[in-house]
Amino acid sequence: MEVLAVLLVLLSAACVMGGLVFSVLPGIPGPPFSAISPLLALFGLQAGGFPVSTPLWITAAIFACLGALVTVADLLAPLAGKLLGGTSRGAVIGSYYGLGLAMLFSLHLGGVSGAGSLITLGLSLVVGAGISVALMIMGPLLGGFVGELASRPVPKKNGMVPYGMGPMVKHAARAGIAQFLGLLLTTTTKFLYGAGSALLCTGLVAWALYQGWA
Amino acid sequence: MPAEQNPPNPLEPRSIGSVGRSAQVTLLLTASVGLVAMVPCFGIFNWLVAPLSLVPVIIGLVGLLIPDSKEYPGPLLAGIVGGMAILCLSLARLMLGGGLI
Repeated sequence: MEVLAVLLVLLSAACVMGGLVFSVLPGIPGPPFSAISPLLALFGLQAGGFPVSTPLWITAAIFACLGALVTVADLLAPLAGKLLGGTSRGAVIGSYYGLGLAMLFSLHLGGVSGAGSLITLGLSLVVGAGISVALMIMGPLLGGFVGELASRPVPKKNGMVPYGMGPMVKHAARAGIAQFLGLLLTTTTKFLYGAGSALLCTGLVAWALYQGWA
Repeated sequence: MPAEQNPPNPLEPRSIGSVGRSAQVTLLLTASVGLVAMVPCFGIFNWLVAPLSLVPVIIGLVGLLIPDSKEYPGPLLAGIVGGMAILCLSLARLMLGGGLI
């Protein structure tokens, strides 16, 4: 029984980590991981014989419902971008490619600048962090711009097709900015939800342990 | 007297032609291989990505320089901009990883 309790609490911790990581990485949605982690922690505590009161279950259930809402909002975000900003699927794919390239490059840059900081007394770390932040902003922005440019022609205006490079670049730049802002908003929301899940899990486990030992 | 504006041309082609499609596909391929090459310890793949990223740039330049082309220029411009961005990133990554890691 205690083995099951430890396993469930460890699984909850893994879900917290997964929720935080997948809130930034595209492909797998992070909020479902964050949503189930408090419930798993409570199941683990109950299996370990700690008293888990009803308000704790209600708090975890409300948090899980909130997670479902965040997941649905995250899934509908590209559609909202399409309806509001007129962005295409190409812009969405492009911005994810840009984000992925920037993130992986920053990962390597972080390692190199961290190692270099031993010689440069931390200066390279500051420079590396600055370049990484700039890349993380520019990646999705440029990716959305290029994706929109590559995916489809400029929509018709008053039944006519606008021609020339000007309207095309303007339309793609607008779509790129809209896509970047959407990505920033959804990623921040998901990450904050993941951080909230980590805090809630820690609080719930600490409270249940305190109740059990008091 | 206000400057006379050209009316929008309804005959302007709206579809993406074969050159544009080539730029699109090669850009997507380069970006995908570039994504793999950015993973730590996979830096050696950037020797492949750097020349590969020149392909959409060249296709885009050729497509834009064809006189009287009816090609929609969006994917061609995207090929140039995207290809150059990936080329810069892969060269920087090669320098960071010493061409190996």
